[in-house]
Formats: sequence, C-alpha cells, structure tokens
Amino acid sequence: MITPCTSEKLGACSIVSLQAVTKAFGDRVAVKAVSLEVPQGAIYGLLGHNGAGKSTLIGMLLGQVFPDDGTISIDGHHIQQARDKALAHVGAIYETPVFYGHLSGRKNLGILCEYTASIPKARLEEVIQLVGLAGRIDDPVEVYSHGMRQRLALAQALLPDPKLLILDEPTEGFDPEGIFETRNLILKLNREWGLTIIVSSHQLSELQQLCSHLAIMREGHLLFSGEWRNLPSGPGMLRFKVDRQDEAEAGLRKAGLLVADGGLQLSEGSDITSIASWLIEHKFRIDFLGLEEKSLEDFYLETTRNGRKEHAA
Amino acid sequence: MNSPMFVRQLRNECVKLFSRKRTYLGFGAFLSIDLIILWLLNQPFPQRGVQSLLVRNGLPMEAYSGGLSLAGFTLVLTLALVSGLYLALVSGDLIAREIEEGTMRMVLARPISRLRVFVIKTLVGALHTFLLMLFVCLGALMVGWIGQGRLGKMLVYAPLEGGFGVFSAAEGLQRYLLATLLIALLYQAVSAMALMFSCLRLRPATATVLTLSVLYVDYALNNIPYLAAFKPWFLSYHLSAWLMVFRYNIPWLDIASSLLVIFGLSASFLVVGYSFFASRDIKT
Repeated sequence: MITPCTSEKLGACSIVSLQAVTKAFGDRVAVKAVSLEVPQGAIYGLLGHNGAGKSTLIGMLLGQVFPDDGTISIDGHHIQQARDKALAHVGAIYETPVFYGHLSGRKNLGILCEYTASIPKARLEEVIQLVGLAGRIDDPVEVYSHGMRQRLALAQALLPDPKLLILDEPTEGFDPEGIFETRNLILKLNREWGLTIIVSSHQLSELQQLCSHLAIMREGHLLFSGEWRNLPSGPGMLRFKVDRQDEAEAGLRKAGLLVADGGLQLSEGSDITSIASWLIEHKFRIDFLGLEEKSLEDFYLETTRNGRKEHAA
Repeated sequence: MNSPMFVRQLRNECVKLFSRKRTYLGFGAFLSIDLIILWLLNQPFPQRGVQSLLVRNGLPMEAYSGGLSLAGFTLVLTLALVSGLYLALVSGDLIAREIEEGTMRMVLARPISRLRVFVIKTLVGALHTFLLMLFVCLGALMVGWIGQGRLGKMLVYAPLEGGFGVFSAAEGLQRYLLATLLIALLYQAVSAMALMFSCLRLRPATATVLTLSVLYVDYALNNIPYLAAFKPWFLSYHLSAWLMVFRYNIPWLDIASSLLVIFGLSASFLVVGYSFFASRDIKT
C-alpha cells in the first residue's frame, strides 16, 4: 500500500513513482525496467531521441498503455488499480494534441473537462486568458494553427486545477515567441502555482532552461535520473571580469587556482570562494565573477555515450 | 456513477455526433430514396406493373396507391441493405475514429474509466440507430402521404417473408407504427456489431466494411432456398421480424423470440467489443 503524498513542503516526497516498468510492442522493447521517482514540486524532464520511450512512459503514466511488468503510482495510487484516483489531480498533454475540429475551442474544453467535473465559468475564462486564446476561443478548432492547438491543449490540461502536469513535447510546432511564452508559463506554474511538472522533449536547450531533474532515456533504457545540475563532474570553468584582466588571469594561474594551460578551468581543489578571496586580496575591482553553467548538451552526450558503452558491454 | 455528470457526458457525446455532417448522410440518403420511389411509382411503366399485380389479386389500384403502401414498398425494398450501410458508417466510427484521430487520447488523459466511455458511446450509437430508423419509417410514410395526397389502404408485399398483407388505412397505420418500433429495436444489433468492430485494432472504414460484409453474407445465406431450415441461425432472418406484423394473425411469440435473439446478439457484440477496448493500448 502506497501512502499518498500529503506534505505541503516541496520536494518532501515523490508524487510519481515507477518501479521496474517494462513495455514491449511485439518484439520491440519500448521501455525496459525503468524505475524513477518524481519529487513533488520538481520540473522533471524526460529527455531522449525520437523513439527513446518517452511517450510510451507518459502513456503508461496516464493508464493508456498497459505495462507488461512493474508498477506505477501517482499521488499514492496505483494507476493500474485505481486509475480514477491516480489521475484525479493530473492534467496532461499526451502526444500530438487533437480536438474535435468542427467544434469551437470553448466547446472542446467543455467536452474534455466534463468527463471528470464541471468547470466554473470563471476558472474557464482564467485559463483561457492564461494560455492566450481569449480572442479565438469561440472559433472552430479546424481553423487553429498548430501553436493555437498546443495552447488549447495546455488549457485543457490546466482546467481541472491539477497538482501534476504531464506535458509531452509541449512546444512542438511553436514559433520562437511561443516557445519563450510557454517556457515562462511552465516556470510560473511551477513556482507560483506549486505544480509538479513532467515535461518530455528532445530539445536540450528547452529542458536545460526548465528542469531541475532529468530522466535520460535511450532505446527504452533509463540512463540517468535525478538532479542533473548538482552532479560532480570535475572542475568547472571560471567566468569573470575585472579591471586588470590579463594580470588577474596570470596571477590566478601562478597561485595555482587555475590550471596552468587550461584556459579558465579551475584547478583541483580550487573553488569560486578561494578565487574571490584572492582577487579581493590583490585589490582587483570585480565586475563579474561566476562559474560557467554546466551544459546539458555535454551532460546528455556524455550520459548517452556511457550508456551506449554499457549496452555494448 | 454520478448521474448529473453522466447525463452531461451523454449530452456532450450527442453534441459530438450530431454536429458532424456525416451523421446525417443516412437521413439524407433515405429521404432521397423515398422521393425516388415515389417518383418511380408515378411513372407509367412501374405503375402498370403494380396495377397488374393488384388486378391479378382482385385489388383496386386506386385504393392501394396511397402513402401507407408506398411506405411499405420502400421499407421492404431498401431497409435490409441500405440501413445497414448508414448504421455501420456511424457506429463503426464511434470508437475507431476517435482512436485513429487521437481524440481518444485526450479523453482518456482524464480520470474517466474506459467502461464509462464505452457505455456513453453505446448509448449514443443506440440513440442514433433509434432516431435513424424512426426517420426512415416515418419519413417514408410522410413522403408517401404528402406525395400521393392520401394515406390510402395498405398493401404490403414481402416475397421473402411470404407475406402479402392488405389492410384498411386505420389498421395499416397501426401495424406500420408497430413495425416502426420493432425496426428501431431490431436494428440495434447492426449498430452493436459495428461498435464491436470499432473497438478492434482497425481503421474506421474497415470496421464499417466488416459490418457490411457480415450483413450481406448473412443476407445472401438467409435467402438460399436450400438453407431454409437454418433461417433462425441468420441475423437477417431476425432483423426482418418486423414484417411479421403484416401477417393477418400477428405471431407475437415469433416476434418476441427474434427480439430475444437480437438482444442476446447485441449484448454479446458489446461484451466482446468492450473487452477489446478495455485491454488495448491507446497510442499512436
């Protein structure tokens, strides 16, 4: 028996739990023994190339695809045994969103949401405003652009006032402005509304800006899951700007705080505090000082290459 | 089940179905057929044929050329084969099209059980069948009545049923309305069969074609004289139970028996359909 996640404190417990979940379609294994925990309050990215198993995993989370093995629970309820309870506070976009084209956006929202509960008019208007469809909501969906359909999909996912939002490629087909707006909306929903968000994508830059946690999949295997930013991965790269730049760089190398011939790479044992102390001690005026953020691209490539080696072995 | 919610879901399902143009194809087709038959029967050549048939049986042409006889002709000639097409077209679409287009994924992203979705679809399919069959029967009557300018006495000639009924206007109308109700109930089996095929891993068009194939093969076998002893085993035999109301002594037991068979078949189709729908993965 799984205890529902009741703590108000973000990150205190897992809202989604997968234990050794496997799914095959015929001879092709789409998801192989995947176990992961999604902490409450996280933005959890599912990253992988096309066909990695991300959508199958989301399908299983929503009880639309039946796992061959393993268990899945959301908010303490097994999806296979108590689907209605497990999905009671879940909003989702699963694969490409499709609507009843001959009906208006408003009618589509009504139909989809009334499968579970009636939606107060004020809530409907609030969500329509939030996703930026206020001027077009009464038009038939068949005249909507792809981006507008994605917005409508986001609206239907938000309407039941979910605790958990599952978004399968939410910015697919968006123009750069739409991607920016959606990203900000996802961040707002997480920070201000306290929603836990699972978002799948194969766009590294998008997930880098959004996610606190990642699951990296390749050919159905889970190669990594957890907080990706805090991983130890050797010394980082320094980024700084001071009044006497060349003198400072040479001095830091001489002091052994930067690698002698490694550009601005920190030497072993050195950190940002020791560098700041040295610069202040030597009377430099610091305009900017920081460590270069770890690139998700590097991390992803490193993980998938290692994963591939493991599989090859 | 939460009743007000269920009613709302049922209403929404009706909105989805009845706001699509293709739902009305059957209604339009039968209205056209009614008008064509009305026009044909008023042409000299077919009129002579009907007249000679009536005269041979000692019946005055003018008494039996009203709306009731025309409606009876239309039903006997078209119902078995044409109505199957339009019922299969709509019921075969109910689940298969939503899965193919992807809207089922949107629906099932909600905490709604597949059983409830299936029950709602079944009820809407049954409602469409009921309404279409009422339209077919009452439409034929209205077109005949308005077109011929009178209801007239009723002549029903059903060679396959071996029936040749002649009734006064009042009795003919009474029996016609009873037949209408029976047709609306009996043809639920066609709708249930199409819904069952709609639940399999098939395209919507394939579900429709499969339903029609079963109906046509069954119809052909039912009409082979050598297989007369096996008639009660065929669906089309029971689908034509409505013709029994035009026998002078209505065989109520036979009608009840056919209704029972139809009910059992429909229930079996629905159970098989649901078991497929409940166990299949919904994924592109």
